[in-house]
Amino acid sequence: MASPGMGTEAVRLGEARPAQLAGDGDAALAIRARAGDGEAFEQLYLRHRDQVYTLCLNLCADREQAQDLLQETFVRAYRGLRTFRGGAQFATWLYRVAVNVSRDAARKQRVRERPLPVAAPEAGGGDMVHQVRDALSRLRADHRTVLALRYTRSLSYQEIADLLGWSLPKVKVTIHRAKQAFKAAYLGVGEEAG
Amino acid sequence: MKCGAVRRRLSEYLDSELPERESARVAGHLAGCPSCRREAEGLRQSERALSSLSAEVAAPELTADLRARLGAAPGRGRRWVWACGVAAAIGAVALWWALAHPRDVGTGAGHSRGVVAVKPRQGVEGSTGALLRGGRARGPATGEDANARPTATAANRLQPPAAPRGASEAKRPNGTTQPTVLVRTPPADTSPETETVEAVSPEVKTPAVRTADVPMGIILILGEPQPIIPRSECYLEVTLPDGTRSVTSQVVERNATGESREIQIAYESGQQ
Repeated sequence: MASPGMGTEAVRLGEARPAQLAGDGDAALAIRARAGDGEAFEQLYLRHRDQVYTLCLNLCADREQAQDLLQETFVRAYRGLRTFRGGAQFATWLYRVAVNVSRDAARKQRVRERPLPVAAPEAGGGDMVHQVRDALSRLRADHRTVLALRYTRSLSYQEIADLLGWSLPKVKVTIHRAKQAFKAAYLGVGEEAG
Repeated sequence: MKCGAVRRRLSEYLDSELPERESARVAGHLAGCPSCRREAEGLRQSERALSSLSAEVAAPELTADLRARLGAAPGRGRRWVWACGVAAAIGAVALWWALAHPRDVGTGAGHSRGVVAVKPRQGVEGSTGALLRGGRARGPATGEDANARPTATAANRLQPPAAPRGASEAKRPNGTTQPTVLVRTPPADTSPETETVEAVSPEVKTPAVRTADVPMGIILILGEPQPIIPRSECYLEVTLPDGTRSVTSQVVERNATGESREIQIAYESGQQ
């Protein structure tokens, strides 16, 4: 077993540089949170919770589960803060955690490649949003993921590739196919969903 | 540009991800092709629908719930719980291995961290192997087992694939930083069947070749969380006391946040 300290210290990643901290409030908060500053982490949570919640909701199509995923995402982010590099965008790193959390949850439920439960229309949600989420929930997991990333925060193809660890061509192809599948599911034309 | 080529690029075109010149060609084709225009319009409609998903608000009470969860489960403490669990599991494997493959006890001064349980070498009498902790870097072997033991410089031949970005890498004895894999021998009073390796690979984005003199068997390399690695193959080239047999491969398991934490390498006996 690694001795206390050595293994831990040896792989402590990327202390953010002062220049980065000055221009990136998230990175500065992350550094403080990593040092044990609970308020800093809470600030990060308040800044990003809605975006992460939306991403989780678009991935799982269930509000209650999305809340659980949101919490789990931030719990894991807190535990894994020391792997966050100041040079990377905190939001992108956080989305990566959220995607992994959602994927793990889907795997646990053994619904990874099956249609997800579709939440009933909610007050304020609107029929269109419900229909979109319904169509999204019928897509394959990888299609759902790229569309959620693309339309939750307008991530570029390259950012999605970096986040998922995919090649750029793979992202292009997957997004194209995902859009075709979504069009079929939402508009009822073209290819079969998924 | 033909219709097929245009349609394959429609998503990129609509997302403004095409180079300017190519985008102009697609636009030119769409201007004169009603069929592709319809296709593009269908995609646009889908995109408008998907864009409606971008505004949701999390319930405010989640903040208190999260605070409670984080207060109950500080990260560092959990990591050590995890680490102890792994240590216990490895200890059990090493003990099983030692009991199943009795052999004599090797020697060497050493400082060891991390764990590798290895299969006994052929032709060496012995007693038991054990999970090792502590000790110092591999020193010269002594006694009848000396020729059978791996050489003393294995750790020094292990080169990191890339410099870690951390600010607090462990210092190597020679003054350099960025240790990746260290091969250690057990202290004199312990079994040679247990070797020690510690992997602290900073970032394994490309296959990394390690060279180490260790007996054949099963190696568990323990490391700390790594950056996200989509699929990482790490392999270890192993030099046996009586020849070279290298094999290994393996794979990075992911921890809860999707980051690699433990690398398990298994290789089989044999010589080349």
